[in-house]
Amino acid sequence: MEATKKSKAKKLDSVSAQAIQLAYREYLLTEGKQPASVFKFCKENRMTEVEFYAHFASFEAIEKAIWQGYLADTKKRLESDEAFVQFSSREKILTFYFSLAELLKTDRSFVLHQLKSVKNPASTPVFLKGFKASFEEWINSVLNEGKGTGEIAKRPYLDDRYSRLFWTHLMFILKFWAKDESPNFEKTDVAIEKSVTLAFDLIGKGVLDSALDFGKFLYQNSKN
Amino acid sequence: MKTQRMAKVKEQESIPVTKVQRATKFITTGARIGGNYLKHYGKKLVNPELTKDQLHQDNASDIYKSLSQLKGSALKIAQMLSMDKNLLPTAYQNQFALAQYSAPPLSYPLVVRTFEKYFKKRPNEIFDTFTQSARNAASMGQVHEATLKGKKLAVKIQYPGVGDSVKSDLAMVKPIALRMFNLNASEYDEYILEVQTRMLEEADYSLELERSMNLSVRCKDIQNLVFPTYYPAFSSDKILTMDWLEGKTLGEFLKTETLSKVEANRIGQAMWDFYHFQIHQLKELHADPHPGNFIITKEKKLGIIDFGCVKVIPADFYPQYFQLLEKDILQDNAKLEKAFYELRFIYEDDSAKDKKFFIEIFAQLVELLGRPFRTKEFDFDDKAYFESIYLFGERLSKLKELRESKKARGVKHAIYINRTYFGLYNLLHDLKAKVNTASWVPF
Repeated sequence: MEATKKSKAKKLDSVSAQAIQLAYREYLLTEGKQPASVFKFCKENRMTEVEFYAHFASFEAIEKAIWQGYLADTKKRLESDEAFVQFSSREKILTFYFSLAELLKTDRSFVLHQLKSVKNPASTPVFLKGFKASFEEWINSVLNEGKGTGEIAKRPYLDDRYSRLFWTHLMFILKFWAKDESPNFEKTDVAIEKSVTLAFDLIGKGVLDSALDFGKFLYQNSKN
Repeated sequence: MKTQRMAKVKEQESIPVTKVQRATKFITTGARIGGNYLKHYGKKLVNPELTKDQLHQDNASDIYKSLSQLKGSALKIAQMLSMDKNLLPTAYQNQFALAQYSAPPLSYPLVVRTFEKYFKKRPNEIFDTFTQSARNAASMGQVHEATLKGKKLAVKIQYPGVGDSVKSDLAMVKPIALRMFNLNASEYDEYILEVQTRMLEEADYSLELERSMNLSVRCKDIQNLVFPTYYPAFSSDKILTMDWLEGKTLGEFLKTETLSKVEANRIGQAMWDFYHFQIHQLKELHADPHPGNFIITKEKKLGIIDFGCVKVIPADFYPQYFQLLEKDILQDNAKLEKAFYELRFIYEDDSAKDKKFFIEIFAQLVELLGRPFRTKEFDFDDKAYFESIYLFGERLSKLKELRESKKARGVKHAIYINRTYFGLYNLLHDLKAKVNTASWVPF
C-alpha cells in the first residue's frame, strides 16, 4: 500500500500494476464510469500507453486483476493462521467467507459499483472470471479433503458439481452483503454461518444419500 | 428493465428468509398445539377420567422443540417461562428447564471473526490458550475457556444479530403465549415491553460488564459469596471476559452431588442476603435467579456469574411494592386496599363485585408469598408450602374473571421482581435451605 502511495506522489514515473489499479479504481468511483479510452486514462495519469499495456490489455483486465487480488489476499490471510490447517472443511470454508467479507469491507465502494453493473445475474460477469476460476480451484481442494475425511459424502457424478454449487453460494453471500445495512455487516456473518451449515447438511451423508439410494433401487427395478 | 426487476425480487426474497422461517416455525407450533387440544378433547369424550397432564405434556414438548431451534430471545422466553414454574403446570417445567443448556453452538471461525472485529486479533493471539469449542452455552451466546498467564478465564461470546431478532421474536411469540399462558392482550403488551427492554439490555455486553463490576464490588462484603473478576480490556459489545469460577452450576451440582444441611443453609442464606441487600440497599438487582447462573465452588460457596439481566427498582415503585410485606397489612383492610390500588390489582372503575373478588384473590396471594417474611426463620424445604403456591398458581391461571378482565392487573415493574422472588424461592427449595429471613427485612 505505502509503496503505491509513494509512487503516485512521484507522479508515477515507474508505473507499477498496482498503481494503475489504484488510479483506475479512483477514476471509476469518482466519475462513476470507465474512462473513455486507454489513451485518455494514460494522459490524465501521466503515463504512456506502452506502460499501461505492459501490465493490462484493457480496463476489464484491470478489474479482473483486482478481483483476483481479493482472492489471493484472502488465501494468504488464511495461510497465516497456523490453526487453519487443522480446521474441518466446514470451518475452512467459513473462515474463507469471513475473511473475504472482512477484506471486501475495505473496498466496498468499488465492489458495490462492480456488482451493480451486473446485468444478467445468471451468467458470470467478465470481471469475475479469473476470480471464479481460482475460487473453484481452492474450493475443490477443500472439498476433496472433506471427502477424504468423510465429512462430505462421495456421490458419483453429483459431487463434481459441488464447486459450482459453492460458487452460486458465494454469489448469494456477495449480494446479501451488498444489501446488508446492519452495523458492521453483522447480518452477513449470520447469513454465512447459517448457509454454510445448511450447505454442509446437504453435502454431508444424510437424507439425500438415502433418497439417491432408494431412487436407484426404484430405477433399477422399473427396468425389469 | 425486466431482468433488473427480476434481480431485485430475487434479492428481496433472499434477505428475510430467516424471518419467514421463524414465522412458519411458530405457526406450525401454534397449529400443533391446536391439534393437541383436539386430540385431548377427542380422547376425553371416550375417557372422561383423562387429566390434562398428557395435553400439557404434548403442548410443552411441541413448544419446547420449536423454541429450542431458535436462539437468543426466543430461547430466553422459554427460560423465562420456566422460571415462573409455579404458575405453570408441572409438565412444562421440565421441558423448559432444559432450554438453558441447549442451543446449537457458534462455529469457531465465527468466534474468531467476532474477535477480529473488536480486537483486530485472533483469540489465540490474545490468550495463551483458547478452546475451539464452547464449554457452555449461554442463552444469548456461548462460553469458551481461555488461559492467560496461568489464569483460567471464561470468555462469553454473543451470537451475532441477537439484539435485532429480539423484537421480531417477541412479536411472533405473542399468539402462542396468549394461548398457552392464558394471558390477555393488554397484560401481554405491558409484560412484553418490559421483557423486551430487559432483553435488549441483556444483548449489550458492555452494559453487562459495567453492571457486573459495579454490583459485584458493592456486594463483596456479603458472606459466602464469590464474584469473578472482570476484564474490560478483553471485553466489548459482544465479548465478555471474566475469571473462570471452578465448580459446578447449581443445577448440575444438585443433580450429581448432595449438600449437608449446614452447607445448604449457608448457601441458601448467602443467596437470600445477596438478593435482599440488592433490593433494599442498592435498589437494583440481578433479576435472573436461574440454576445456571450460580456456581457452587469447591469450598461450598456461592459464585455469581451472570449480571446480564438487572432490574433497577424505581424510587416510587419501591414503597408501593414492599408495603405488602408490612406486618399488619393483612389485618388492616384500608391499608391493603390502598396498596392494591397503587399496584393496580384493582381499579377505581371496577364493579363492586369485581373489586371484592380481586381483593380476596390478591390478599391470598400476598399472604402466601409473603409468608417467609412473617417469621424470623423459614424452611424452604417445606413441601406443603410449595404445593400450596403451585395449587394457587394453577387456580389463578384458570380464573375466568382474571383472564377475561380487560385490564392488566399489576404493575410492569413488578414483573421482574416477582420473577426474581419465584426464582429465589425455587432455588432455595431445591437447596432445601432453612434461612434467617429477618436479616434484611426493612420493616
